[in-house]
Amino acid sequence: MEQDAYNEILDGDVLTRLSGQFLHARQPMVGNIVGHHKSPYRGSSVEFAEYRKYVPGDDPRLLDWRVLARTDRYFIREFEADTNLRCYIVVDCSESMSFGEKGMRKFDYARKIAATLSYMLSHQGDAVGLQLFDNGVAADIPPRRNPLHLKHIFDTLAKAKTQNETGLVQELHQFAERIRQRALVIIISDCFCDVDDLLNCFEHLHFQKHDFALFHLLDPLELDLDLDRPIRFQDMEGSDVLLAEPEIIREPYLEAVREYLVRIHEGCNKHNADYRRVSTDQPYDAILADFLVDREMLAKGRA
Amino acid sequence: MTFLNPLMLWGLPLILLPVLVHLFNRLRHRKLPWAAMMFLRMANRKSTRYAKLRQWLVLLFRVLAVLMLLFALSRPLAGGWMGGMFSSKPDVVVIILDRSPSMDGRADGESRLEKSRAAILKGMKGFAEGSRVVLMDHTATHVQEVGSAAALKNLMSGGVNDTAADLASQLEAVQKWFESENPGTGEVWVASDLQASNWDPASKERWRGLVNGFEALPQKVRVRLLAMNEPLASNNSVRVRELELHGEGERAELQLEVEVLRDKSEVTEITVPVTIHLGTESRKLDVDFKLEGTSHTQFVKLSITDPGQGGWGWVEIPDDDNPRDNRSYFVYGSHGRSSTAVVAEDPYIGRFLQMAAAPNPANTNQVSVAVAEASRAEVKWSDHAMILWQGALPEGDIAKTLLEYVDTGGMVVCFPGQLESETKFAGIGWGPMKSTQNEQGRAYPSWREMVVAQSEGDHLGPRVVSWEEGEGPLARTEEGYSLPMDGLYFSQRRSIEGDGIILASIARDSKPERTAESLIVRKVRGKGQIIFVGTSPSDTWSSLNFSIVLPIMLQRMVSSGAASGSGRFSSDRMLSAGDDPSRTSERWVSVGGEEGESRDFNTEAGIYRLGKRVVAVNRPEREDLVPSLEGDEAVKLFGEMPVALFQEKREGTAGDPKEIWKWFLALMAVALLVEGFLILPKSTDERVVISRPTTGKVATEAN
Repeated sequence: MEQDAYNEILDGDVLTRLSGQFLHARQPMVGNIVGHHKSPYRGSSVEFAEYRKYVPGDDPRLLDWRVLARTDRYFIREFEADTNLRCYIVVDCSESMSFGEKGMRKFDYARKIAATLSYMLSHQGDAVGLQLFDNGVAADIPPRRNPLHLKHIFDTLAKAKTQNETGLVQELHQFAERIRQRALVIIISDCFCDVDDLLNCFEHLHFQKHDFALFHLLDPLELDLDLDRPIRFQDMEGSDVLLAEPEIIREPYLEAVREYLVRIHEGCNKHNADYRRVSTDQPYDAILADFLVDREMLAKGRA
Repeated sequence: MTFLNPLMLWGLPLILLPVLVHLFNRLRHRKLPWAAMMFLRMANRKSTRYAKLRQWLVLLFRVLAVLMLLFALSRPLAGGWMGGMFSSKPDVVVIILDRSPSMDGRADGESRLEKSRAAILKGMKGFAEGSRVVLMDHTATHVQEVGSAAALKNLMSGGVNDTAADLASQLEAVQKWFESENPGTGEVWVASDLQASNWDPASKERWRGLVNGFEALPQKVRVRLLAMNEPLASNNSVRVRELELHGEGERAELQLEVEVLRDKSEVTEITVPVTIHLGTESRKLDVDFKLEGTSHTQFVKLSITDPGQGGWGWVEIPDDDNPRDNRSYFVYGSHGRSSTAVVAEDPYIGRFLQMAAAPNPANTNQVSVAVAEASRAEVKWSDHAMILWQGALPEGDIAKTLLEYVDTGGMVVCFPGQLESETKFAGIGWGPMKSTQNEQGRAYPSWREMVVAQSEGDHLGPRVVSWEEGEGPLARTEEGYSLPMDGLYFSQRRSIEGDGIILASIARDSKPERTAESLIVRKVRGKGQIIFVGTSPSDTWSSLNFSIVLPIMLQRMVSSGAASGSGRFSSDRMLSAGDDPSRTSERWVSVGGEEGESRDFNTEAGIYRLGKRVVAVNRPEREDLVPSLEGDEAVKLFGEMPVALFQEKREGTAGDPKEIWKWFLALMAVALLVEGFLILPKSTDERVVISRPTTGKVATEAN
């Protein structure tokens, strides 16, 4: 039974394909143990960082004796520090995420991404946490590194259900306030809320120096409104009903969607967010693979 | 528009199909839980008016496409005069063809009749199958079945004749035929030049009855009116209105009153050469008529060598746009019998008047007939050249008949009676009785006593002081001698009350200028006249019974009555074609036509002989009347009946009806094309496309 639930959110083949890849942070992370990510602090890795003048109090063992012998000056030789990262995966489980006409349900898609990334992060020794919210916090699992914690995350994802309206904006604000230490924040949502409010959230996260990525999930039908006869649209997060002919409203609808997407994309760029627009008819492993490759390229380039 | 396959029109409700599909589509909407409601609300607010309009336009063009397809399948006919009515093929077509003389008008070389015939035959092509065709020629009183199109062509092949058309009567006959035969849905095709005299538009009651008759029929009857009323460029007509034969022997003279009419009232003066042919004497005379207005009447005198034998001839003008009205025939002969009817309340006076009017009993050409009071209503006054009426003036129906008689050239002479009466005849009545009295104030019982009583050389009582000697019944003799009017004695007389021309006045000797009263008054009415004589020829009245004046006066009057009524008297010689159907059985032979030409007495103008009797037959006078109805006026006569009008003068030639289903197919294609254009998706450049990268990574510039 448990295995079936896991199969819904994890795909062994995808995990195998992605096993050779590594999820890098795009900026130095503050971890509590040695890891694979750069730290803003100096440490004891083999990678030289810089020379610094000796000041009283420094450990004399760190003096570069050769420079002292040659120049009669006291310099400290510093090395980069490697640390682990804390990753928060934030999944929107409001009722709108259960929409899925052409592709799979957005929520199922979100769970697969969340589960896969959790698995990868856990296996590369990083702490991973999970936050589910609708109009409030539905589940809050702080980041940890042990395998049991990963099982806890899987169980939570497997049991999660969509409900209520979305409270993405206020939850992200609260989240940004609560997490003081810089972390990798991966948000998976359809973002059906006011764009200005959403961009405020992104600014808040950016201000807190979080490295955050947004998987913006949209059903193909929501992107093309490819319907051919009158439809009574029933609001999934409310009681509103709208009878409309797609042929008549398609153009203005697509115009509105495009404007909204452009603004989100520009907002993400502005606040240094890693924006991924995902149509749920696309294979999620390709999305993740590209996500990982981009980050790796960035990490190597910076190195 | 007429449809050859009207059954397809039952499919017209199918045009609602696109609407029903549209409504059904709307009703069959499905429910869809939707997450991105924020965009839908925004889109719903922004959906443009054009998008909604486009939806309705698409629907409209779909409806039009179905409609055009149905029309195309119904095989519509259009063009010419067949295209004017939205109808299906009728069960029966009744053709009424006007062949009156005015239909021979040629606006462009081809006569109106020929054009009508061609239009009807072309129109029949569409109805070659399935419709029964009957023809009613305007000279016929019954409809004639037509078996085939070829038969119709043969039946209509005759040319114009000289009878007048009476379209209302023909339509009445057609209505009765529909009533009796009940042949199913019908169309009446009327081809006419809309000459007003043929249509009788003034008889509104008659037309209303006709239309009501058609509307009361169980089946629908439509009318197709082919109006060949294009005005003619140049058309004159000629007619002999009256003819009088004056004199005898070598001095005999034929006086013709010839009238030339022209169609257009133009200010320009034209000269129409009129040729008068005397057929019996192989002579002709050319006279130029100068027309300033629409008509010109002129008297033409011809000397006749042998008036006793009589003769005939014709008057002719040169060919113009209507050759049918360029000739008018006439027949002349001696006056023959002249008859006087005498109506008198006093038998003595009556007898005296009879003798005065016809003094020689051996002369059977001059007779007088006494009319008894009981038989006055049955008398045919028009048979008499003069009517002498003594006593109370006629009233009621008799007065009306007599006035009509006067209008047509009759002569009525009235003498007073003893009884007082206030009756007026033609506005004139008898006043109070006036007696001549002696010095003792006693009235003379007779004029003879006045003669006895008068002293030698004196004239007792009133006397005629003045009379019209220039012309009329009291004119001087040819030698210049006056009639002895002033020698008349009057013991009794009545004054004449009313306006008229005074022919003789009476007065006392002493003050003629003050006391003069009218004795004889003439009232001219129509072509004839009424003469009132204030006294009667008897001893108690006046010496008219003794004087030569009365016979002379009456003889002159009867001769004047005969002359003025010659049009009436010659009515049995001058006939109008087709106006007397009772003569259809008589075997008249044409004598005045060209060599070897055979003419129909009943329908064609000419000179005809039956035994010794020779008559001239002309087209009816009403055929010369130019006014023709406008198409709209003719349509109005049919009231609520469906009428399709084709007017030659507005719409050109009544061409061949054409099947126009191809046009409807083309229109359907156009409708579908427009519909297709409207529902065409926007081009790639115009369409709003939202990029969906397979990797999820969106380029900065991408939308």
